[in-house]
Amino acid sequence: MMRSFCSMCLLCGIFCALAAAAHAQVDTASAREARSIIRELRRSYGSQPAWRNLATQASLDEVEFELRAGDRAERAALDKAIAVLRSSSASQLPAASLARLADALQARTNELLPVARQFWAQACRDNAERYQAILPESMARERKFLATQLGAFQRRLPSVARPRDSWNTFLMWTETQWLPGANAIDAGTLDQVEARWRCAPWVWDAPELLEASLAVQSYVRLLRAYLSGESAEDHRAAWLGMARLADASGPTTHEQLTALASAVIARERLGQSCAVTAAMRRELSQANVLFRAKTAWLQSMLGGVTNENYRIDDVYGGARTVGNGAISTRVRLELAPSTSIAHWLLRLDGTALGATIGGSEGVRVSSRAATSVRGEKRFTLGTRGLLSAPATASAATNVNYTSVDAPGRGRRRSEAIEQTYARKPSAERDAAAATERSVRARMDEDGRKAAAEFNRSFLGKLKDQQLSNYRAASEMRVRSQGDAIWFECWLEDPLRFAATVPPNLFEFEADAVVSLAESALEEQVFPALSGRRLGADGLAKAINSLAGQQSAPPAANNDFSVEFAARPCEFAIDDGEVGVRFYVNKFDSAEVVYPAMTVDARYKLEQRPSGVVLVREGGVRVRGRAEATGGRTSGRQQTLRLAVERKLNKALPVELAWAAPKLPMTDSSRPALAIRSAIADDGWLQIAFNRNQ
Amino acid sequence: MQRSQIGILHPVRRNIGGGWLALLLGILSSTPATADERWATLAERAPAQTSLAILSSDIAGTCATFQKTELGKTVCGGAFAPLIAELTRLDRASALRMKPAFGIDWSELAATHAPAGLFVFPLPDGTAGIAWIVGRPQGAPDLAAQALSYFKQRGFLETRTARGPAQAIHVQPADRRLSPRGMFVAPGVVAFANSPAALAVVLSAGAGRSLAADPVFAGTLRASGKPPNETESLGAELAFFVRPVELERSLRAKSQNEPQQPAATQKPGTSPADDRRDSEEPTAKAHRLGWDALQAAWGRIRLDANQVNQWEIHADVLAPGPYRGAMRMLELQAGPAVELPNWIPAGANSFGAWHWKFAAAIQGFGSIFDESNEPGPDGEGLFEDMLNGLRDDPEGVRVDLRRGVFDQLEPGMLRVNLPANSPKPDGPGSAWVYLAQARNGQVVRQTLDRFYEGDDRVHHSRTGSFDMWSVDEGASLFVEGESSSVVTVQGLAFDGQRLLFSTDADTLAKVLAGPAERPLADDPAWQTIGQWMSTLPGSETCFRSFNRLSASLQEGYQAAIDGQSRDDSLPAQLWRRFLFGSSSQRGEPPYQAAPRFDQLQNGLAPAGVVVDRMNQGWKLSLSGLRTEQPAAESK
Repeated sequence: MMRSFCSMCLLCGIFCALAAAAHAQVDTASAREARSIIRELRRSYGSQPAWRNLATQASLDEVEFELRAGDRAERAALDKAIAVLRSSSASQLPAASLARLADALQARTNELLPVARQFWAQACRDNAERYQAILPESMARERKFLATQLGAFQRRLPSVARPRDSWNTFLMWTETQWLPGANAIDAGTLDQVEARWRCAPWVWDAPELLEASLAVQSYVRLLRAYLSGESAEDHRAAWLGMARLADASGPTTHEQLTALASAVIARERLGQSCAVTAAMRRELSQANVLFRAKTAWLQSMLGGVTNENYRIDDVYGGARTVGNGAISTRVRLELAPSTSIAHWLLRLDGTALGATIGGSEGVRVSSRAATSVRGEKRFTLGTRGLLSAPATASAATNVNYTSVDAPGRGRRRSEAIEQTYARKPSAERDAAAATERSVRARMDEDGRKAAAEFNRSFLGKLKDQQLSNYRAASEMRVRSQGDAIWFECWLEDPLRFAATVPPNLFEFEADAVVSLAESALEEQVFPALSGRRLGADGLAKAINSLAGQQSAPPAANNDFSVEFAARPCEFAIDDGEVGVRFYVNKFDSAEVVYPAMTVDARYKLEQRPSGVVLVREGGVRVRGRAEATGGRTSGRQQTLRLAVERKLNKALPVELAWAAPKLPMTDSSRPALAIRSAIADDGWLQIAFNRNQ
Repeated sequence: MQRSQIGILHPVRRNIGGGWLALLLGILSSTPATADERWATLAERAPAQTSLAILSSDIAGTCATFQKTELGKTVCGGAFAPLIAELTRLDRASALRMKPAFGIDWSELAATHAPAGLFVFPLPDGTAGIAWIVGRPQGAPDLAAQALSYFKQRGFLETRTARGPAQAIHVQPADRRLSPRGMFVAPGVVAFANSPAALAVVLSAGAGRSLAADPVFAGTLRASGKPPNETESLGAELAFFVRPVELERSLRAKSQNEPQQPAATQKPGTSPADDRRDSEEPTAKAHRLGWDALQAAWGRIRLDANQVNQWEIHADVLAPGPYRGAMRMLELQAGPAVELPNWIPAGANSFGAWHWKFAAAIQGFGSIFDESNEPGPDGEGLFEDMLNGLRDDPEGVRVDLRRGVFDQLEPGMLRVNLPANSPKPDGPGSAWVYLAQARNGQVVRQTLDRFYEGDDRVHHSRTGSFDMWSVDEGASLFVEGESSSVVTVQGLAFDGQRLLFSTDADTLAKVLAGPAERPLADDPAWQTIGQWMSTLPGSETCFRSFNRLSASLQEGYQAAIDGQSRDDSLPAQLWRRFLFGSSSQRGEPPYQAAPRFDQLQNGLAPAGVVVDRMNQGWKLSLSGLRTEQPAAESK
């Protein structure tokens, strides 16, 4: 079972890659009220079965997910919860509170009503005429609210005020404290504060932190707008500009899409999110990392039958009992339908047969016991990783005495035997209870290890890397429907949208498919290269590590260093090729310093028995910045290309191999994944896997 | 104005002369020697692998003659006294104060009328060993006794070993932080080495294994058998022999025992990458770049304070071809003397005129460009690839610089060094201007137009009949990149025939503005040098230059006396050696005590160089004028 857990977890760890999304409409009053009611009910009734039943039926964890998902929130979970709440007959719970919760959720679903694409332009034009200056009174109100939320958080975590505390540093607590009283703050600091608070709930989802995080993010946008002093004319011009980009024909070219995304983000950053910006974000910022897996495959990977022998040495029915047993268990994975947080249930059914000898007060009993056992362990997989609930188990034992040997003769012996038989139900209960304990302990222990291993992988590969660059995701959805599950992640630059279009359907029959959009690759590269200065060896190593290669092929003896721009690269995927353009601020080689340039490389996707290989097509192409943006290149400027190309061609690997992922904790008895096919087209790199037969 | 108050016999002053000669030879990196039996006797004691030998028939006479020249007066004047005093206080050896290394100093040599030679040679660890070998005529001072006395006063212990008729003497310091020294005394000769290893090398020299047996050196003696001028005093003529590649290598080599610089004193900005650049084995690098074609140079130095040309050097350079790598730039051709253009002002620091095979020279420049951009064998071909790329790249401008420019230029070249128009604090104080003549002006103009077309960083203008292209400070007109180690052209002008290019656009613009108010052609110093050039017998002259040492030696000197400077050029290294001695010595060199460069200027007169092509190399003639007297002093 341990193996099953780990397989599941690592599988997720490998594929649910890095996610990131900027909150758009950070928070609303209805969402805030709904969260507040849920917290209150949980505090008062959290231990009652009626609440637990309601929470399960209404999928409240998914509801809470949607209530903090900002503009990317979906209505399905809210609609389902509203229906459950309105029909609830749980008399132990306060009906008024449930009704209030249903109303708040209804208000939130209304806010999430979609705006059809053909109405975007008109909605923008309407907004152009709805200029509202930010008044000092509203600023004062928001400041007070922010101060309250920060105060609540500090009471929850007093150490955040200590200068060298890690949370103090991470949350830029000093700068955060400036916010309520700030009449001027530089834009960079404001962005940093916003990014860090957005990241925080990834690490710790304490309600006080969540509320403070949302409050800070909302306030930062308001403050940014207040400090910008946008005039009515500017406001109108901005919205009309958006309307032009989003007119009836809609943005069609990449440039138009990019321009519209930038315009939407600009409005969001000034706290002007609304239904139409939310609609645009939902439609134009699709998940850019997708992992689709067949349920049947997951079940075959994670379920299975095991047989084990065990030693019995315990006290059953008051008698010390020793012997041997054999248990046969079958583990099944059940996936509940979900739209945001995966609920997985591992079910264990088992039968144990034991032969024992026991004795008490001179009576010696040989017996055979048959125990049937059932266990369950629930897991949820969301943005904070894999979390598990305590396992439950039930068992029933039937004991059959094959011989009872009592001392004495006649009546005394008969009485002893009778008493022994009288204690049989007790012995059966004890044996069943021991089995339950054992199964629970085993499931919990395996689950704990699996979750720890998954989260370590998840944190290391996903969260830590992104958090250290303050680019954490706010959203990762796990959808489970029909015969497949989908992991959807948004790896999003704060100033850009993720994927503008979803991937094409690819290898629907494959056991698993990974789809990576251009923007996801860019975000993955970001921590390794952004603003960094690398030597020839470091560059080759970084490029190789991006493809998952641990050992870099020896780079040619090359002596240069390259300093990447803050936004280090762009990917373009099409027609079986992955193109990458690196933005370089400076290139030093020996005595020569070259100015800013772009470096283009094209890799052709090839499938080989060893896996997928990206093979460089020809040499890299170097261009001065002016040339890269369509400007003309003189012969003098061309020398830059020729000199640097020569060096980079020697330093960069010609092939980047991506072998099929080998799942740790798998062994020869369990089939590994094999690459079935791969494609690079229409902005997506997609790789399909099958079970290796 | 009264000159130095320090008397001529002052030991500090007398310390200076020979050291200056060593520097002079290093700077001029050159040459020849006269045949003299006494020199041969000294050379028999020098190791065969000697990379530098400077020989005097009478060392006392040499010192006396040198001190009479303007150059000698300057360096023997008060300017260097504080530095020598500081070297004495620190007991630090340098060319200015040799006692800590050899036990003898210039004052002893200046009193010794005997043939003497200074020899530099590689030691087994690659570093340089240095030895003085001095004759022992009847009545000469006992230099060995004086040296031993010096060392014993400092607690050195003496060990003597009989080596045939000679006696090897090792002096071992009681203080283990000091380096041991060595000397030997033989019939007729005494030698002083700066280390036991150097002494061992000297002692190993013998019949068949000495410099005298070296075929090149022997040839030198045979070829320069001209007797000394009767009017000259003995010692006014020095001979020298140098293997420049080997000398440069051994002077740059660092001993394994050399103390590491503490972190606080390390030069800023050095990195492991910097170290890696020099990882190529020096011999391999010299071979790859073609420098090893420079096999040897030898010649004579004549000193005469009574002549306008106070010093002259005549040298032969053995550099047989064919050349490869950077040496292709030195495939010079004989050509007529150039008429000085009127735009060269009298204040020019230097000018040089030569004839070369332009295509081969550009290939040679390519080797330097490669080495500068990508040191080591991997970098070879970068320049050629760039030219090919400019010609062939389908996305490029398709400009063939070889055919369109380089092949169109005549062999004659002129190079002028001018004080910078507006010197920058961190930039060089001077700028170079080059002049070439084009055969087919139309082709050149079209090529340049296409090369720069659409370049927003290149400014185009017209000055008179010239089209001028320029880039801002830090950029280059040839490559989109910045480099301080190769010629960075920032201004280029063409009038259909004359192609001028410069390292400084403002300076070029000033040149184009018209004739100089007072041209160099009217300058008395140049006229004197020009007259001297016309007296030289050569018919295959390929290079002529005029040089104001008071300007051209400044950069290296300033770098040498600046403890923070990262300048590792040969001039800076030579100055450091001359002023402060080997860097392997303990402690920080006394940078502050060195004289300012302007204190040296009186002794650094204009000089001329003429090079004639020979079958196996070149013949060089150099001459330095009597120092121009400042008006105030001449009263």
